[in-house]
Formats: sequence, structure tokens, C-alpha cells
Amino acid sequence: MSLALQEQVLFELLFDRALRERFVQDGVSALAGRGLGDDALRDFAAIRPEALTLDASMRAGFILSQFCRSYPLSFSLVSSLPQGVELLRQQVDVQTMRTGPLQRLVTFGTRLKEQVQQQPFASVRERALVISILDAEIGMAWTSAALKLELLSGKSLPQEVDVPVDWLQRPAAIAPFVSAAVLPSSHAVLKAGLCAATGASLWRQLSRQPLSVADRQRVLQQHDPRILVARAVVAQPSRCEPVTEHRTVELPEGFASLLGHVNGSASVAGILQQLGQAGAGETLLGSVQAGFRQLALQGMLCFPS
Amino acid sequence: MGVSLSLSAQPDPVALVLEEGGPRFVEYAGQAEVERVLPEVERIRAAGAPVLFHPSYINFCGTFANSPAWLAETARHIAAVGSPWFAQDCAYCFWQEGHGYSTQLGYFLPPILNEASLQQAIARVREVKAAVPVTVAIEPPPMTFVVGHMPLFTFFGRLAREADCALLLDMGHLVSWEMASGQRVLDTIADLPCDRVIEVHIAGGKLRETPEGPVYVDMHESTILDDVWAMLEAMLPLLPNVKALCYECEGMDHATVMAGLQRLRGLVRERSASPALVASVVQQEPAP
Repeated sequence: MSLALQEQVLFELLFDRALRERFVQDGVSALAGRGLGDDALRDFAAIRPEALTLDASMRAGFILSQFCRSYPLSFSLVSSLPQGVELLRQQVDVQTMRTGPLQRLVTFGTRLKEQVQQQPFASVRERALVISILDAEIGMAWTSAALKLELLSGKSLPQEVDVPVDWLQRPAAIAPFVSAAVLPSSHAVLKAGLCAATGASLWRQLSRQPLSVADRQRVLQQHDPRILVARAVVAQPSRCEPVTEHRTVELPEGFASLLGHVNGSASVAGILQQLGQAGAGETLLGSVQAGFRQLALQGMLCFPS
Repeated sequence: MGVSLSLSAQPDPVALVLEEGGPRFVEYAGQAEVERVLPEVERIRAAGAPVLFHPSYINFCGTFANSPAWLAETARHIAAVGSPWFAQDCAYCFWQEGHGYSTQLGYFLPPILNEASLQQAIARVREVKAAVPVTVAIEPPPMTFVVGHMPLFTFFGRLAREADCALLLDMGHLVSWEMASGQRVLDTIADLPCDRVIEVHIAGGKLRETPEGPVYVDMHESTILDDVWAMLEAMLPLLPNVKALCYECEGMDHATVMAGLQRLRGLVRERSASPALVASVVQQEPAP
């Protein structure tokens, strides 16, 4: 059907920069070979090329102001790279935009990570720290999308239950919709150091004044690594567009290796026993137990019967 | 005479409603789920002003059908807030990947102005009419660029007649089409069923200069441009059935909104062909 073809071409003109530049240069001949008839092609001749270019730029900006809400730390860090916010704009293309709405943020973040991995940094360590922050935000986008998909598919979600009295002895597993990533500092410290604004305002601010390399390196040099554990929860249910948010717990970096043992077969008591046998003192064991209890209280652990 | 505002943001809708010379109704976009806006809506209604629901998530054109769940939610929303009609820009809010708000595309994507697109728009309007309990009014959207050569009023005139729906005309959007197309809306005024226009919008915008001429960009937080005032002055005498004139003023300060309403009342008194609209403005004026 011709209209359906025209719709696809219109979409590509807005989100495929290379096609759009060819169109600006060559007019409708850039659209040849796409199955459009003469009348359909003639419709595109009505487009003022510079207006299309302006529209595509504004549109991408608005989309990025939305995405910035889910990737504030990453946006700020990427703005300090040589390509700056242009690297973010490049990811708002047909491939990202043709992803389903629920998955789009994850696709954007994943593709951004691939690009950031190829960027020049002062050291391998600095690159790793930036990627770890991006991973944390991708993880939260992923769990949020997964939760929304479950809700919209009509599946009932596990009810919130109290932490069982014998939680220490029961086998423990990571609860659904939980992500974890190691950050170079606490999330609050990173946010304060990297983001002078929030939401759409942060995007506007970074577009005018990107984060400097010096500020990036100063923030990343604060060596106080934490593991950020985040659980996506429903804030506002809906059969149209549910709203989710994240509950978070920050724990010492060493907890990362312990979480690998939380696999549904081992109990927390068992993990603590192994730590004790490895030489951990009472203070450390108390701290580890308190950390697991925090995770349990926030619903990040489950205890399958 | 009313205003379109973001609920729970400045300027405060209730403060405006309660002020002498303030708006007589409040229009808002908001989310589909009425629970998310009901407290603010009820505040406005308690202050004595009705509300109009004017969202941005319905496809009133194109081949991508509206989700039954979203349509049902829309009907529920309209009934709960008592919106006397349901209006939205005739544009794409979402693409084939799934229903959602126009923000997922950045903003509205305008319809292609040709016969095939018109037929699909008729189908989309009928699809929405079948689901909602009130009159549907469709609005030509803002257009930075146009695809297709059918004149705007020809497209929307036929859409309104063949889908049997009402119309909302936004003066800035009309200016945007003129700049994008190089044509004049009044050249095809005969194609527009003017009696179907029940609502008029006016709002701020900016001109972006390009080598090929200016491009109009809809920006409600900006001042209303002279071209847009001129469009209103030209259109008001042609529209005999307008029931509401709405100043879209999200992001503007209280004093600017009040001054805008005062200027609009003056224009309505001088130029409007709608007895109902003129009467409502005269009624609101303080006694001499």
C-alpha cells in the first residue's frame, strides 16, 4: 500500500541522517528504488529541505530530553567526550526508534555503551568506571522495561511479602526486576558531581555547557566504590503506560562477589558460615548480615519455598 | 475564553480562574489515566471552571490503529472529568511499534496531505468516535514541513465532513502550514465547513530563519507572534459556531496570561462571528 510506504519513507527521513542528507542534496531522486510511485514521490517534493533538517534536529532533542531522565549520569559523562552530545544524537536513529517503546531505552543505552567503549580515555581504568556507570543505568532501564512488559501482558506479579522470620536459614535468590552494578562512588555523590540539573533541564544544560574533562576525572577519582542494587517497582499501575520507579540499596563493593552465591540454593546463614571459615571476623560478619537484611527488606531477595 | 495549562505547574490554574477577568475554562493535556490528574482537575472544577481534555497520544491519521485499551481509558477519562468534547491534533503520536504519547516521537508527526492519507484519517477519526462519549474535534497540527500537496483546509474540510466530526483551529498551526507550504489557508476557505469549528487556539511560537524563508516553531512558553495575531483577526469573522477560544500558555507567567486574555476578549468583541463566544466575553466584563 502506497501510504504505508510513504509513512516508512517519512520516518526514515526524520531518523536516518544519511538518507536525509541525500534528500537535502538531491531531492526526491534520493528516494528512488523504495517502491514509491510517481505521485507518492511527488508528495515528498513538497518538503522544504532545511525545514526537514530543523525538524529532525528538534525532534531528536526532545527525544533525548526524555531519555536523559533515565540516563542522567551517562549523558553527563558522554557530554565530556570529544564528540560530546553529538554521540548521544547519533544513537537516535532508525534502529533505536524502530525498537518497541518499552525496549527503546534499553536499546539506546546498549548502543551508546558500544560507542563509548571505543572512545579515547586517559586510562583503561577511567573507561571501565564510565562503563560501570552506564551499566548501572542500563540495568535499571532493563528491569523497568521488563516490569512494564509483565504488567501489560496481564501477568500477575508476586505480592510483596514480609521477610520470613527464618530468612537467614532459607535458600535465598535474587528477586525479579533487580539489577546490580558497581559504581566508583555512591550514586548521590556521582549525581551531585555530574548533574547540575535534573530531567529535561539536564539535557538542555548539557547541550549548552557539556561536562568538562577535568570535572569528569575529578568525580571519577573519588575512590569509594559501592555496589548499587536497584529493584524496579510499580509506582502507578495502568493498562496503558504503567509508571515504575526504583528502590535502591548501596553496599560496600565487596558485596558484589557475595551476590554471586545468592542463587536459590544457598542460604544467607550458609554464606556467612563460609565467610567465617575463611577468616572473617564478627564485625565483618555482622556487617554482611546487615547488608543482606537491607536487601531482603527492600524486596531484592526472595526466599522460594 | 479559557487557557491551556500544565496541571500542577505555574501559573496556577485555580489562581487564574479565581481572578476577575481570568479564564472561564481550563484545558489540559495530561496522561490517559484519569486518576493521575483527578485531584488537580477537581481543584479547578471546585473553583467554578469546567475542563477540556486535550491529550497527545491518539493517532488521528495514518495506518497505525489506536489501541482499544488506550481508547477505553480515554473514554473513562472524558466521562470522569466531564470534558464536553474531545479534541486533539490530527497527527501521528506513535508508530507501528506500539501505542504511546507523542513525546516518544519527540512531538506530533504531521499527516501526509494526500487522498490516501485522508481516507486513513477518516478511519482513525471514526475509530475514536466509536469509543468516546462526546463530540470529537480534530485540529490541524503544527507543521515544520509538509508532505503532500492537498491544501490544509481541503484535507481537514473533507475529513470533518466525511468523518462527521468537529474542528479545532490553532492559529499558530495555520501559520506554520502557510510557511511550510508556501500556500495561504484563506485561498481554500470555501473547502472548510466553518460551522464545524467549535474551538480556536492561540499560542506563542518562534520563527527560525533559514535561507529558504522562516519556519514557524510552536512554543507555548513564548510570546504570540504578530503573524499569529493577524491569523486570528482574519479567521474570527469566518467562524460562526466557536464555543471556546483557548490561550495555550503553559510556562507563561500569571500577568502575561491575564494580559493575553484581555487582548483576546477585545478581539472577540470586535471580530468574532460567534454570538455565543461574544456573549460569554461580554458577560465576563465588569459592569460599568
